[in-house]
Amino acid sequence: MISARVVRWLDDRLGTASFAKNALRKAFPDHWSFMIGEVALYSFLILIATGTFLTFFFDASSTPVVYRGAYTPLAGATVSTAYDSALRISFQVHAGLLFRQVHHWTALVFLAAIVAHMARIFFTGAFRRPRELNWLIGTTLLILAIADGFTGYSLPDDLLSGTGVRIAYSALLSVPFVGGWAAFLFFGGAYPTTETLRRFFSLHILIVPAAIAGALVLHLAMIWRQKHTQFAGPGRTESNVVGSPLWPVYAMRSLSIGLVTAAVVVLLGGLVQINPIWLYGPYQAWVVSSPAQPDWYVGWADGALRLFPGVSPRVFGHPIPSPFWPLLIIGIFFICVYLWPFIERAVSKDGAEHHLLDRPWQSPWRATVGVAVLSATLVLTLAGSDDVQARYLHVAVEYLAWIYRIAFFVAPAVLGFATYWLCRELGAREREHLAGESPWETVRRTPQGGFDGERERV
Amino acid sequence: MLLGAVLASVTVALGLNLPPIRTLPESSSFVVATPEPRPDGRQLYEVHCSSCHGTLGQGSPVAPPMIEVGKGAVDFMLSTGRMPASVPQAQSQRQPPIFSSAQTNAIVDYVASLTPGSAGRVAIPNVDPDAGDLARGRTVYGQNCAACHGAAAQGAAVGYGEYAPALDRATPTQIGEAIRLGPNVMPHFGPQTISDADMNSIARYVLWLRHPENRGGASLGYEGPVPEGFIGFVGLGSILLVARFVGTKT
Amino acid sequence: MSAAVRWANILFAGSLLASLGFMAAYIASAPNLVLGACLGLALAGLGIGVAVWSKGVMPPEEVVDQREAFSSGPSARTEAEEELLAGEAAIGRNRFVAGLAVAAAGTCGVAALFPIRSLGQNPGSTLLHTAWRNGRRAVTAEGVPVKASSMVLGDVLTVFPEGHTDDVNAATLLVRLNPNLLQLPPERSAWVPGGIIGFSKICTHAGCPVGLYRQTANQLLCPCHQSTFDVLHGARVIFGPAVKPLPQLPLLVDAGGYVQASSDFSEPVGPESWGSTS
Repeated sequence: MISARVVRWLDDRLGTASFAKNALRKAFPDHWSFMIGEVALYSFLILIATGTFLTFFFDASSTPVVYRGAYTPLAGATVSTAYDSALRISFQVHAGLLFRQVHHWTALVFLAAIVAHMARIFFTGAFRRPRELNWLIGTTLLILAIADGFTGYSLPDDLLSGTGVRIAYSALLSVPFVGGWAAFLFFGGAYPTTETLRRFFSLHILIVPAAIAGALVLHLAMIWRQKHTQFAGPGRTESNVVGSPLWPVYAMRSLSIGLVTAAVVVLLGGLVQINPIWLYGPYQAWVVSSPAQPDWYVGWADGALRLFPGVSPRVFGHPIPSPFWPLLIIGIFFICVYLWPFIERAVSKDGAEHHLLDRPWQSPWRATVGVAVLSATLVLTLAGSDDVQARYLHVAVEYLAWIYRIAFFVAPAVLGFATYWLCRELGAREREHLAGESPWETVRRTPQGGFDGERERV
Repeated sequence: MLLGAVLASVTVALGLNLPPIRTLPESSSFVVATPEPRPDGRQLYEVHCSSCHGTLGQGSPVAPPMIEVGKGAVDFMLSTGRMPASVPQAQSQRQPPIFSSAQTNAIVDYVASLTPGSAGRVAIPNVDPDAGDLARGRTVYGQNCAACHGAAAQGAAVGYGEYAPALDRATPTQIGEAIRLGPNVMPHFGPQTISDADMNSIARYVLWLRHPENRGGASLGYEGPVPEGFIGFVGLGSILLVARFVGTKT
Repeated sequence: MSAAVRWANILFAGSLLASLGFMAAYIASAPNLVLGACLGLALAGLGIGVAVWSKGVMPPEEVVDQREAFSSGPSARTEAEEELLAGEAAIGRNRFVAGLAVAAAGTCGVAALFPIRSLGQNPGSTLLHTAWRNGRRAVTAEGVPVKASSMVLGDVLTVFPEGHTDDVNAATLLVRLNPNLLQLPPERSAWVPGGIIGFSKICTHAGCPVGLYRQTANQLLCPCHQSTFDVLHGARVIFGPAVKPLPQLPLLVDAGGYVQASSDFSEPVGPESWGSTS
């Protein structure tokens, strides 16, 4: 058999057989939620593949050029070379539009998968010792992915993304002390500058993906070394891993998820239009169209900018402009996210190793914090599109802004309380179940006319 | 008399597409009835408009005066069905107009007659989309209109409960009238800000936007990243459905 | 044949056909919809087929791995620490040389950071001044000068300094309104010739163009975060996260009837930063 020959050939040169012997039988727990991270991984691979195709045609230059391509409403317009090349990909390159749209749709799915994956890790306590390092790397991956997405959709230099670039520049500039330096580092000087596109291009195709790839390698290597976590169940203890072997079942399962991820993004790329840059027109710093939103994974930052009231105090004569404050809150928030395994350890006083996962309700206060944070983030994300909602709901956008401002505090509190209560209920019910008690009571009428109740046995 | 008979016959013929009938000699008291009497602009105005705009077009606390608005203004409001408004003071919305074009013209003429000798602010423009340039239209639309009406003329909120409507049903004349009139919160673009030639180009581009080349697929209402993000989550959800199928649930 | 095998066969066969369809569609320059549908269905057939196969056809198997403690044990740890310390001692035997080496390496590292400065200039106070000057005419984006009489009541127009239509930070909104409605401080009353008032188009919150003019309310609205500016009161902020009003451009009408600036903006344009002291 061919595979037998390959095994021998490699083993003669690399000694791989003993590794393979163990690796192929490695146990991978089967729960479906453990595959969310893989969706993110496969999305990243699809992004690399489609992105590489795009780099053969995209030209990240701000040099003005007269458009002479196939899209008639832009005929004769002066646009940047980058925009022109993006239009050429969309209209002239064979299957170019498909690759461009698949690339963009995959980015949206990539980030959705990362967020869902992080939520799964959080609510099941998978970040506890010995996996704190992986949590740190994972949070870094989230930030890198957001950065890659932002620089990526800004590359075509269209009116919508260019407006967002200006906002990001102003927000960065609002940071005290280092704002100016950070702005020139990432944007290449005073806005608008011809350097920004090239800077973003280097970041988007080289620096950030390399960082993501490196972090991913560490991420996966640690999972391999530490073995995957698992839910409690029959035969599952803190000192074993029960699951499907890597070969063939797990590999097939993983492969199917990878193919289905590719299928979904390719179908989206073919059937649903995304980022029609030809409709928006080329970026000009003095022109804008409505509505103006970033991609969803930056929408929460845009919502924060909309909701945070205008405060601009002066410190020693230097202004701290209003975009800085939501940025500061976001920064503090991410620091808390990074430190969460250590915060939880300090609060719960539980420093033991955990390889068995919690069901989300088994740690009510952790679930409460998670729901509160997610609902606050959801409020911010929804607030980022309040003008679109205003149009379709026929409510003034000013009212919506105030509703979201209040909801930012009320929703996490209300949902947090509800989560806490629900977790306690579910926990109590589970304890009753395990103790052989049923929540049901049989109620009988006594001969005296009163009522008598008796808990049923399970 | 003969001329009158001929005119009456032609009117009837045009109205009924029937072969012309001959009238009786003038000694008869019989009168040819036209199926659609020429609309009485004054009567229509008094019935439908004067309660808010005043019997002489002087306006009232709930409606602006009609003096000097110009034929284009009245024609725009009536032909888009914004007037008569069922609720005064709310932002007027496009609706199916209640008047026929003959009735609209009659009211337009009547209101114009309230200020004889003055053409008013907004004339009925002569908008010819075919004389416009598509690329020029895109440029001028992008600079002046897209901020409120959206890049694809899909409409948008413009604050305080008011909206710039979608332009998918506006006729070229209505586009021109709106540009000069500036209905509701819309600015009034003068002939030097947006020239008549540019108006033709804008109209051409707006008409073109009704059938844009959506080569990428479904347009999601042209609302941009908001529905796109939602669909992204739908995509993730469908992948996770398969994950639930291949994995275990306990 | 079990249901799973049957389904797997159908899905793989369908995928095969879809792949062939994609090849044909590509050669025929088919539209994006057809390309995406064919390739997508091909991948879907493969993916769901493999899923059905792995779930329904492959024998379910469970393996159990034992976890080992991660710690390598006290003796290995001690040995590792000793190796590390011994190496450190060997390197740092001569204190002076070691110290100088560290100083040299550190200085080299700092030196290597210097080229970062080449990446651009610190924006600093570049927004303090635009290209507007006393006597510079207002022109449209195409460079056409603007006559005061050409603007009607309720009109709005974006203008630039003559000869500097590429200075996007100088973009100015000219609005014509009824001067009796204005409530400006007395020193600015001369800035509004004939009811034509000019404000910077760059939003003072995050720099988006303030593109929406709510004519009946005389308000300028920025579409990015809904900052709303009251034109009648010097474009002060009445809603939204902006703090600074839009800087006003002092205007005058020259002998030929053309609108010009009489000086640069009242304040630096756009959003503030730590470095903007005024």
